[in-house]
Amino acid sequence: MSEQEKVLAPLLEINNLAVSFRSGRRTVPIIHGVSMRVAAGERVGVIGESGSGKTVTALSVLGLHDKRRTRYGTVSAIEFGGTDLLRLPPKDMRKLRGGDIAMVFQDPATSLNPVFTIAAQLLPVLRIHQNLSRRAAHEAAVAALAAVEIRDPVRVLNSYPHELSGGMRQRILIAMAVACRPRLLIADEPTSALDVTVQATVLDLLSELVTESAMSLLLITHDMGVIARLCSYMYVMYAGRVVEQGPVKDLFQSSWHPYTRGLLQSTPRMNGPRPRRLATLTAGQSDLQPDVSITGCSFASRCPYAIERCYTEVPVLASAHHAASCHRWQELVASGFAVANSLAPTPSAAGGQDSD
Amino acid sequence: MRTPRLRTGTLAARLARTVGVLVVISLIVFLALRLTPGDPAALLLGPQAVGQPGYKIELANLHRQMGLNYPLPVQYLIWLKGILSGNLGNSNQNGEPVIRLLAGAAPPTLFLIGLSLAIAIPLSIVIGTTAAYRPSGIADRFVRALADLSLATPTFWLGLLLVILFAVRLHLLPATGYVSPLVSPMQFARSMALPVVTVVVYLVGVLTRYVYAEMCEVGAQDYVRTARAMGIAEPTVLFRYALRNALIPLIAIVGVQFAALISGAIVVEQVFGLGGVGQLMLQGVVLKDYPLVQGGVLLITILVTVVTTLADLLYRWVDPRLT
Repeated sequence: MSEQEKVLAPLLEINNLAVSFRSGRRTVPIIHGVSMRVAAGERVGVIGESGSGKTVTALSVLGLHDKRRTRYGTVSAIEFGGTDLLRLPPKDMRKLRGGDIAMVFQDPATSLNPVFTIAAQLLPVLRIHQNLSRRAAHEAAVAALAAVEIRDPVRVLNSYPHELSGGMRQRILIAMAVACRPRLLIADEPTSALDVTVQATVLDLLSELVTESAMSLLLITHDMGVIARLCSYMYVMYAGRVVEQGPVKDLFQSSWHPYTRGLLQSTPRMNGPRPRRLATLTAGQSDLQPDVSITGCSFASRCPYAIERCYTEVPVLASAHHAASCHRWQELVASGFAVANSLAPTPSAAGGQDSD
Repeated sequence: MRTPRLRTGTLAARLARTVGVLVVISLIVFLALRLTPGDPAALLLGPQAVGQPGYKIELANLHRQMGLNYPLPVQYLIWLKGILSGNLGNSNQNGEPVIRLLAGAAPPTLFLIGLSLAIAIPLSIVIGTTAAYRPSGIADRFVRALADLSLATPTFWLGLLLVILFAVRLHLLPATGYVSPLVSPMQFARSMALPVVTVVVYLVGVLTRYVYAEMCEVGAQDYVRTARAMGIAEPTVLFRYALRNALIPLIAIVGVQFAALISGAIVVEQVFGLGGVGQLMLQGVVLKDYPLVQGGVLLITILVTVVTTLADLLYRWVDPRLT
């Protein structure tokens, strides 16, 4: 499977993306050279904790950052079907948005305009990208809502967002996104704000829609389970960098980076032996301070395997199909991630006193 | 677009509240006028009449004529009874019916406020939105400086400056006076131009700041990002999707501004000699013309209540979550 995917031409190719935001007189680097590829029809997941730069990366693809405050790296490029999106004129970018590239956002409660009916928000999208008449757009809207399994599309079209449930709203946002048959769908934590029971149905729906219209999917999440369910390839982000990339199967079987490993171990599983206590990652926050990130691995302060080198030298991510940006990954994998040095956290620091 | 429904219950409740407000206001005005020092009859006779022979008798006669010889509650009830039969009494100054005086003074005031709002609201929306679209840009800085300047400029001063420039120096527009649009639409427009500009400058200063602040906040909302992410053109995003959300607080502010304008218009009416309600009331207060002031306050109260009610209904129309 992995060899097969390598052959496919990339639809989206993010090359060495560096993003920094200006805040007052300071410029804060957020993304430090991220590269990703999404082939046509491929489903790629991006995982990472809050502030790791997943959403910033996705918004860069659509050019949705505030232009006045955003600086991209000089060697950064986001190629989509052969054009560099970072250097695309705003007019052309706008045509791509909602047309060839669509996005589903995290919070359905705030992502729909509260003072407009669903029809007033959905119809213009259809009319802009498909040049439909009012009536044709209305029919297309009904069909789009039916496609996301909304039972009474005509009534829902005449509803205001506050009259609908969270699951319905997310379905509507998905319908808006896929209505114009995009080639790439970016879903930014599409289920994080939903009830657990609704999450599964929305994920299944997304999966179906992507398969049906042969879309590529770039799925952003902090939930390993969501990646396992939907994606074939994944990127793990930490503090504005990709720390590990590889086929989902490979990563779940054998992750190379201590952070990925920590994430997987802290995910509760339904099958297999039940651990006495769920593993956790050491507390701490990904540090966005530029001077700190330059001097070493940004995960070092939380890493149980960190050695001196980790604080002085930034590890590089190889461009291999499965790769990790860690100085010690080979020896760690070979040793089965045995905690082998004094920098390891004590159990109390790692676990806390959680009740079961 | 679906029209939000309005419950009749809400309307009835509002109406009942309005009547309550009117009663309370009428009581306050009635008492305020009578409990402050000064005798309208004495004022009418003038200071030179004091001590003249027959002054006391004349004063008593005048009191009887004005109905001031009755106890206060009775006076109040007589006034209320008059209102219910459409009679607000006669002015102390010249015996003209208050209703006729007010009817003559209302058009200039209403035109002044109405025209000013009709110009200032769209203008503030366009300026505020444009500035919010590019915060800390040139437009933004210009707008904020302009808004500060207009707020810091006293309206009477600006009015006088305009009169000096356009009437005295350039002879383009009349300095004072009001011409009814029924008499001559052209003369009406010329007579209203300077007063309206004066009020608009003040209003734009106030409203633009609100529009700007609201649009900045709304512009950062997720649904605005959604609209952009769907490829909606920027002007549509701003002036349709974002603006409608920003309008909600703006409606409340315009409602309050209307109330402030009715009394604030006194100065502008005075400067331009429009003969509006404000000017009429000022006269009435100085001469303790009870019926005139009472009638004027009643009219203003009714107008303000009507506008607040309208704002409330408009609110529900703009924001479907409120119905």
